[in-house]
Amino acid sequence: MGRVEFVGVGKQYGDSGAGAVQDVNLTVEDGEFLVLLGPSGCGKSTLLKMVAGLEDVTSGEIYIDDRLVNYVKPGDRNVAMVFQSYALYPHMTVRENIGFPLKMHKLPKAEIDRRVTEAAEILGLRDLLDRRPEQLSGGQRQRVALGRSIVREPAVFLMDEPLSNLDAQLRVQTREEILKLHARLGTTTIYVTHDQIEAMTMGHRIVVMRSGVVQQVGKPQFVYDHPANTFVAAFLGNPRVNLQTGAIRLEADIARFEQGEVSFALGPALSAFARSAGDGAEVALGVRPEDISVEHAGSRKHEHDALVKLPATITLVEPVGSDLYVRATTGTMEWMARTEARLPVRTGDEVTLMIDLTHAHLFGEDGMNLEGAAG
Amino acid sequence: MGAEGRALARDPQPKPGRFGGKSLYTIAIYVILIVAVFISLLPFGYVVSTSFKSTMSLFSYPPDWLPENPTLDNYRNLLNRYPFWRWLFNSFVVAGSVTAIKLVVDSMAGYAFAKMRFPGRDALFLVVLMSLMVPFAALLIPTFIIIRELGMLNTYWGLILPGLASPIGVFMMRQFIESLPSDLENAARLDGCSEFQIYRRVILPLIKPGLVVLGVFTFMTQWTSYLWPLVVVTKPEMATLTVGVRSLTSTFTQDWGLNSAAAILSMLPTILVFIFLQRYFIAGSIAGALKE
Amino acid sequence: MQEQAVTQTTRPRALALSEEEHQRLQRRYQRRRSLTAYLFLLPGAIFFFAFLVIPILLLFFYTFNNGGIISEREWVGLANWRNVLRDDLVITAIKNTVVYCLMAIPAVFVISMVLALVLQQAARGGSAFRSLLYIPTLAPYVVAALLWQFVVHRDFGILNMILVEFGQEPRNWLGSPDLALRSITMLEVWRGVGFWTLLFLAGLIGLPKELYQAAAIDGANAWQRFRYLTIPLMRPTFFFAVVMATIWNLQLFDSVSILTNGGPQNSTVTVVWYIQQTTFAYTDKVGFGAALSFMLLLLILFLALIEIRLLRKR
Ligand SMILES: Nc1ncnc2c1ncn2[C@@H]1O[C@H](COP(=O)(O)OP(=O)(O)O)[C@@H](O)[C@H]1O
Ligand SMILES: [Mg+2]
Repeated sequence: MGRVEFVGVGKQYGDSGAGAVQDVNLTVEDGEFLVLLGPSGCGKSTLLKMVAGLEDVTSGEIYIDDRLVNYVKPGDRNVAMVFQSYALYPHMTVRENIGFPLKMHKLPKAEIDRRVTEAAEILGLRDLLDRRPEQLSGGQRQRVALGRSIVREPAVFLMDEPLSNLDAQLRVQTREEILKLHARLGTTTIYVTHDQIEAMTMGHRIVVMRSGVVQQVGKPQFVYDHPANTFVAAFLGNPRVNLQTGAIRLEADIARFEQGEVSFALGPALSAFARSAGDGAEVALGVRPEDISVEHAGSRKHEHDALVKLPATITLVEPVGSDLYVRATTGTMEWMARTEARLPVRTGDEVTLMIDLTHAHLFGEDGMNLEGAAG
Repeated sequence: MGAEGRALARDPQPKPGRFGGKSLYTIAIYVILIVAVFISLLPFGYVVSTSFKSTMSLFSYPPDWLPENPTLDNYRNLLNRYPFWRWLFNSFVVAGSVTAIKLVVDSMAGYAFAKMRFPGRDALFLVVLMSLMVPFAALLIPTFIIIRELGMLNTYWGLILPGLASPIGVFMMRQFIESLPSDLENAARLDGCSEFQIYRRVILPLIKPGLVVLGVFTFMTQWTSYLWPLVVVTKPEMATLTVGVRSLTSTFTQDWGLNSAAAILSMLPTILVFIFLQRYFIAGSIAGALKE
Repeated sequence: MQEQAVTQTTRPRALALSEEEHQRLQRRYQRRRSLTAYLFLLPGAIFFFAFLVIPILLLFFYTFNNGGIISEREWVGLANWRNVLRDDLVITAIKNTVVYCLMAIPAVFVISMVLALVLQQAARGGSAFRSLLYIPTLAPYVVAALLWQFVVHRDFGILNMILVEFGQEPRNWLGSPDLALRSITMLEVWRGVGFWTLLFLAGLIGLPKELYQAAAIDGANAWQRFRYLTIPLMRPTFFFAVVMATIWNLQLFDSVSILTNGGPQNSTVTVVWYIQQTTFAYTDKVGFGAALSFMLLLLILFLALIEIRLLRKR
């Protein structure tokens, strides 16, 4: 079991200033892998520490399996935490580190040995049991930290950026290991990260936070495809989403987007949302770089009513191997396109950008996705 | 800077002048050190030599460095005619007790100040800082009166208790413990430790270097303490080493050989302890303890 | 742009407990935690109160009384304070103590700093030298005093042997009023060098190495690095050292009591020596000693606070 519920949870450090976490309402289902995502300082760790009991809750209630835990000591909440710094006890061997929570909970010696051996087996630490943390590599330390949390068989795992101290390759590998572990144990996990790749690949659902406020909760792909606001749209996706500010011009059957000299039709879906905003409304148009390509001889010819063609000048070409990032300007608009690698374009080329608005979004003046307002 | 000097010396094509300068420099360094050590230890050499001299040969002039007929008479005298072992034992009891109690008490308080949140923490710590400035010597009279009222004159407790008030250990321990990452105690908290278990099983093992520094410092201070034992002890059998050794010198005669033997014997334990533990005395551990 | 959450703004359920109930529970939870902290402080606090706070209060009380150690205590009002301020020997004691500090502290700091710098440069054997230099500090004063007699003894002391060697008159280091305090100072410096060297060395080792490398690359010579890096960076260490050295040295007693007992001609009378004498040696002037003690307390607090002020500012 391990259902975590946040009811109007807020946290304020000190007596004044904005809350580090504000009015979080959220239910983490039993067995779920939930990722808290947001830039540094947005309150992810604070939220996690409140679940762990390492920080007091300033307002609201936190439940673990329907038990109000606001006033329960950390050790009695049946949660385990993996820290970014690993927080292994330097003076204990791997075996003692992993067995420590069991010892503190007064399990019999034989049972401790059994569970430590089992955890070491799962995590491939069997040969390292008698070493001290200082004799381990970063990845090994991380696995010991994982081991220390799984032996307790807690209701909830809390992980605070557990991979951010590892190098890129180990990070991918450990990511997979954590997922396997989760598949095997099925323990509810709340995982904090500022890395969108981790969030997208690991989370059943992700929670995007900013300045202590939850921006959006949902399945990773859904959040990516339907960002609630410009912040979420910009935070997810690499290169960043193209956000163009402009005005809506409503015509008989279609809406147009207008910025300075440049103006184009928005296609039927977006037009519907645009209509809800009204003629002349200030909006931001969000188009992901992968929905923009540069027209060339081999371009697929099939036109549709959500495709916009704009003449543009290339200002920057960045090959990243698998893709080619192209930056181009049209009037006052600047676009980033993510196109096929090896496309023969160069800085200064005059080209035609093909902008597919099928998955594009309009954001109102308040930054909110008009899709939400209309739907 | 030392590392840089060595790197230069290893330079494949050293400029001749520069290289010569560096060797001179190294020589100068060792000359200074040897002179300093010589001055530091010279009087000890004198005392060691005197402790083996017979009363007869003591006052030959000019004094000779190596006794002509080395004798153990002085040591025999000291151990047979005076309760030297008793003084040594007393000093061990007092210095050892103060050290043991202070290590526990100060590290507990240091942990509370460094890692716990409670109303009045900063104000209380300010009081601790202020009290660093209170000279013990100024409290001699009231402390004596308190100990007397407690009926502890000429007792071990009377020697020990006033030594426990000094707040410098609390200050040192707090600095040490504060430098430990909070994640560690948080991890322990989640692993089900009570605050006392965190202190006992996580904090204490990790501040061992700090405990050694505070321990040696406290032990040495107590071992060499003179004023308080002088005041609180009137019975010879409760004298500590310092007071006892001092009592060997009567107003009229000074038995140099005997005094020297006593000096050597009373310093031996501390020198051994210090040499054994001295590696802890550096490695930034003191720096860690003293930084603001 | 004002942004809000778009999903899950509705609470999964209403708060189960009222605001007041939460406040009550929160207080109880925090109180239990504070209580733990106070328990950790308790043992130290007991000693702190019994042997520091209460003595200070008691001391203040005794400055208005007389007797109390041998004879009965009696209230005398401000008489002790008046006597202390009028007593010539008090002036002498304060003067001697301050003069001693002004000689001893700079001397021991300069020597120790030089030795610390030198030790830091020593590629090999540094730790051995360090330990050997520390040995004088381990000597109890009774021992140090004895050692020092071998140094300053009129007939067979080392110093005089050296003087004679150079064709000079031997001097009466402890027996002449001009020299006695200086001899005491020499002893204290000799004994203190090991401790301060170790402290300064610890400070030096803690300095950031990168800065020195950067400065060396920028072409700063050794003196410039010392002047513009070491000195400013060592400030926290110096700060601590100056304040603590003042507090400790103003309590000069042991060596004076053993070597000269205040003489000759009161030239080595120090404040603590005078306190000890008036209360425990030949008279029962407890109130006088208490008032003098309280003056010492105020003097040290005053000087330490001035130093803290001065050193903090710059
Ligand atoms: N112990 C603390 N005291 C005061 N402010 C804090 C404390 N811990 C975190 N904060 C502040 O709360 C905000 C959220 O911090 P945190 O939860 O650590 O963010 P994240 O983990 O998302 O990077 C930050 O602005 C941070 O400065
Ligand atoms: Mg964080």
